[in-house]
Amino acid sequence: MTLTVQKLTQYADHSKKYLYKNVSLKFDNARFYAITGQRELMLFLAGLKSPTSGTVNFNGKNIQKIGLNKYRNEKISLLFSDGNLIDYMTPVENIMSALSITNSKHAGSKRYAMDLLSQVGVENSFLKRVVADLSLEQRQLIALVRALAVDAPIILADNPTEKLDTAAAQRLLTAFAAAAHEWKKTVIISTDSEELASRADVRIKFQDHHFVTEKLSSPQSTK
Amino acid sequence: MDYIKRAFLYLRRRIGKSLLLILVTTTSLIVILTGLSIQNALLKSSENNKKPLGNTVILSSRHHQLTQKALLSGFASTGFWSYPAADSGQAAVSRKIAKRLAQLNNVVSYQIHSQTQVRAASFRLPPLKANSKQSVEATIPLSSNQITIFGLSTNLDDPNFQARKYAIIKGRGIYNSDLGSHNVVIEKSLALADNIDIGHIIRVRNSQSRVSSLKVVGIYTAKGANGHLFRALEDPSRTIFASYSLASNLAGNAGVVTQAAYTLANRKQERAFMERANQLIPASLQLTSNDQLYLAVTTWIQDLSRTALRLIWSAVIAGSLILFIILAIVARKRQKEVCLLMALGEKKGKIAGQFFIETGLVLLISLILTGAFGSFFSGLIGTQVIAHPAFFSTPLDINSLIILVVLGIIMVSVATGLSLFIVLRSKFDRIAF
Repeated sequence: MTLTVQKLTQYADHSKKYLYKNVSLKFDNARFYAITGQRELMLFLAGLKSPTSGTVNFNGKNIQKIGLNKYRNEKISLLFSDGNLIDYMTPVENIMSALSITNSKHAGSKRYAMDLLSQVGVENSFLKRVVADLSLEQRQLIALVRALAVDAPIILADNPTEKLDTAAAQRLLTAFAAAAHEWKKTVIISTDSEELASRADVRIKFQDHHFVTEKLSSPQSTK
Repeated sequence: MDYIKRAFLYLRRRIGKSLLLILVTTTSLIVILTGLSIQNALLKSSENNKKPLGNTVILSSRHHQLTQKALLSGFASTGFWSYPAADSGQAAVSRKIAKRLAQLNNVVSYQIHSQTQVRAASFRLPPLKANSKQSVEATIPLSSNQITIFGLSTNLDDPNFQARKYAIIKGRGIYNSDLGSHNVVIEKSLALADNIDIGHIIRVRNSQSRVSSLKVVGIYTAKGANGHLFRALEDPSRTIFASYSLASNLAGNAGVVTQAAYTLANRKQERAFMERANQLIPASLQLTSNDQLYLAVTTWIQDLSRTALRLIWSAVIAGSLILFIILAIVARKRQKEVCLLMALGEKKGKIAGQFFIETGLVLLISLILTGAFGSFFSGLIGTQVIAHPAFFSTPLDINSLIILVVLGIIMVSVATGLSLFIVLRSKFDRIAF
């Protein structure tokens, strides 16, 4: 699986000045990427917004041609900064909803959802509570489990640590790294923290209208 | 967990909001039900009374004016047509003339009516009922032991017996063969008040203090007085049915009756009947066709029907609007949920489906509640609109129920559709990120 960005050009809102021009990036399978300084790129990767020009390709095929809804349904799993869960559902119900919507091979399996939550270390006492009653860290962790549960090979997380304290943020990043290295997912997060970004395998930093890619570790190593 | 299960789960977990939606929907449906009940009752009353009224010609004294106002008043208070009472002093229709008119072409049946007041001479009366006392006093003042002798040809043709509001529970009714006899039919509470039974002789005193013996041949029970072709019957316990000849005798003039009503076979022949009959009656009598009165009442029904229709549509519009406001407020809070579902790749159709199933379930529960408690509340509201509960005793027919369901669906669909429009047109990338 590869996700590539080709000749991406984006102008600043209401201006003829471009933010960046002809950007090309490549995201490989089972690697953990952190993007700093440019959150809008996440919207393009998620197919939620179209750039001024350029394409986002999944396995060489333009995601527009795949169909944005199908792309989001089958290829990616999104996480937002405040834990994008349905707040009137329990953790298990959230995961089962996602399995059903994405037509996962595990759709309808409550056991599968519970096993995953157990593997990630979600306490049993949380399972019967609706997610609105859980802490932000717990919600982010459950959102990550949901992303792991579905068949989508890519996890896109927009600033998932933004509202967490440092310790909780570190624990979450460890879980993201595990998702990449043990679950073989492509994990791409955006963050404002350079320090947290340094936990990724590859850091993509946006500065002076350019994206600078920096490899921080070799594949298959979980920090 | 598909969108249908999500809808059920949402309603269960957001029970407060669900109950609010059910309350608003049920209230709107009850108001709609009220409007439909009014229309239904008006339609039924109109149909029930169209035949006797439309085909009936009344012969009465000129002193006895049948006014539109009096007729409308009778209709509004009872839900049945009822003519204003003629007091005994104005009973001046010759029996001979009344019978002669009955021989004319086109008359299929006729009722001769005579009425007078007497006093009980040999038996006790039950106490007057509070509400009937009031209405009796409004028409003919009765003293504590005064009784109305209601003379007719046969009570088989009496609307109250035909409508089974009155029923013979012992003995028999008054027939044409009772003409000239002293046979009477009394009400159950009068019979119970002094242990009067079939075959007993009771004595009454007329206005000239002459005492007459009457033979009880039947006992009837009154489930609710609706009214009568000639006059609204008041407290049934103070009403004794007899042959019109007996009533005339007790009134002091055997050859005179109060009124006669002729039912015509063909309404188109009414004018011909009126022309011929007018040649046979003296100037002191008059014939009243019901057409003008019927038209007046029909206009009144149409006005009420329009009011009911306005009530129905007001409820639909107000209900839709309030539901929309609640759903829109809730929907704004649910935008994040919608964004998440769309980010997961859920189709817009299924998201809309979830919303429609939620409100559909609310409608279903509301319809059940309306079915269970609606008639009671619609009766309460309805009496404020048409001041008589008689209108709400008519059960809704299947067509009205279908209309209720369809209007409920329209109301809920409009509100859900509009709130969905707000949610689904929002730029969810901005909300999500």
